[in-house]
Amino acid sequence: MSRKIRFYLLFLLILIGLTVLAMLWDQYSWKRIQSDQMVAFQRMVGGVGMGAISTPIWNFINFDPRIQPIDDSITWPIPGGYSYGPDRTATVSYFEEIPVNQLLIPPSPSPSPPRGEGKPAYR
Amino acid sequence: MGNIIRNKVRSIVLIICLIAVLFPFITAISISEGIKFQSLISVEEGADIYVTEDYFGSNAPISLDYLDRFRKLEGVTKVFPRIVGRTYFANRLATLVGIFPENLPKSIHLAQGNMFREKGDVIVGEGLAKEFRLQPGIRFSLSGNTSKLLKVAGIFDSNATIWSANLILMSFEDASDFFKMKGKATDILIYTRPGYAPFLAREIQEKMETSNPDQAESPLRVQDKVLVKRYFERGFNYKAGVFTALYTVAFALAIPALLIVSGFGQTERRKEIGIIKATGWQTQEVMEMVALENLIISLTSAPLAILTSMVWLKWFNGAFIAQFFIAEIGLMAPFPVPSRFLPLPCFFAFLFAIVLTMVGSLYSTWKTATIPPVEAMR
Repeated sequence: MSRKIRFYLLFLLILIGLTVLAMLWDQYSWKRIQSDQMVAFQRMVGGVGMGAISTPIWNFINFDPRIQPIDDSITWPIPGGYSYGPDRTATVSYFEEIPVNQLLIPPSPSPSPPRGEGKPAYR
Repeated sequence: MGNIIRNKVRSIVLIICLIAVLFPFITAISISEGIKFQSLISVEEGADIYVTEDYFGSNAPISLDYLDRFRKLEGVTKVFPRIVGRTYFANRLATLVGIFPENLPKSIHLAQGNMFREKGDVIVGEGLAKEFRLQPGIRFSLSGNTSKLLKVAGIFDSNATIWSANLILMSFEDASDFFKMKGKATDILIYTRPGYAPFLAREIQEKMETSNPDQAESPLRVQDKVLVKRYFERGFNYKAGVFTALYTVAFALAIPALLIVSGFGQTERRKEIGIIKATGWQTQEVMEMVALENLIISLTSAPLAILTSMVWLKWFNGAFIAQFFIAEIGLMAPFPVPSRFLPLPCFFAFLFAIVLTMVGSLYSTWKTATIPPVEAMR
């Protein structure tokens, strides 16, 4: 095995080791350091923000669907085209209205009596 | 291994190309995981039930008269209203949140100043504070209601969440004054004992409406945690799936296209295979050599792409690139861009690299290795 190959293998091992260590450090920092602030903030405000956007531009559904679960930007009449909310860019989240079944079918009415046998309604 | 070192330029170009295609994939997935983590905290630490009124099918402000009615329900532990609105701070869109001062925790860490104590005190996000050089004690009013004078009492720590960067927090009363919506809240938050939330949500939806037969008030819209979790799951999994699919296609096209279009190293590679075949190598041995080369190239490029992405996101705060994945943050994000490097996406990056280098080279190698060496060397 030549010197250059040994050097490359060593470089590869260090690179992989460094990557694993960096990922472990990242996991640790998320668990130990950052979450306390986030928990305190979210408890205080009752949960604000869910999507990959820092301000509620265009519509609230991208920012937080709890505040407005419908995308009202698509209902704006913009001449010459569709309105582009940030959810149509490459952001890493996309919220859409969850359809809720609101259809209520009342029980069918009892069959009406044969013609001539029932009492007229006005009597 | 010797082959990689001998063909230095070809190997370096291939590694750079792989890093270039893996980098956006790893960056997008790690930002997605970072925001997902913050979003999950927002869901878990939020209320069990959110109640608003329903105006023509959209959420609408709810009357504070409901507060007492909700408090009386069995299983309810806490009820409070809040206001969440939008307003412009100069030319920057901000989220304005109004809460009861009783909700303020004792132990929240602010970058500067204190929590609000007096009427008109507000806490502003670090993004707004940096952009407009706000300091505790500065007084201002907003065009939404110029008569309402506000004072910066504190500035949020940028580590809180991405949503606190452009946020203005004030007391419920101040927010009510600001929006001129007395007696109304954006939503009423209900916290329940464990297991009560689904039943209470149904009860609120049914009873509150039937207890109001004259229909003077609008119907209520009730969102419980189960529904909010569905928003969360669909909101992130859908887009992560889209990213993975898009990048798979991009990878699948990038490497073979690069090899075909540039023809880089193909003549050299043909000659090389011809020579080693002439010295007595079998086709299988040639294929093994190329596979091993690809493995080493992938093992080099995937960790390099991960480290580059990590350095870019953690040290340079995702400058220029984060704006593609988080909307409305500009070239330089005013808050730490959240990113989590989980093992599975990183392993996928390696897997993509190896599959695509194999796809890009195995067939052409086999084709060259099966023809007479003289022809290959020509």
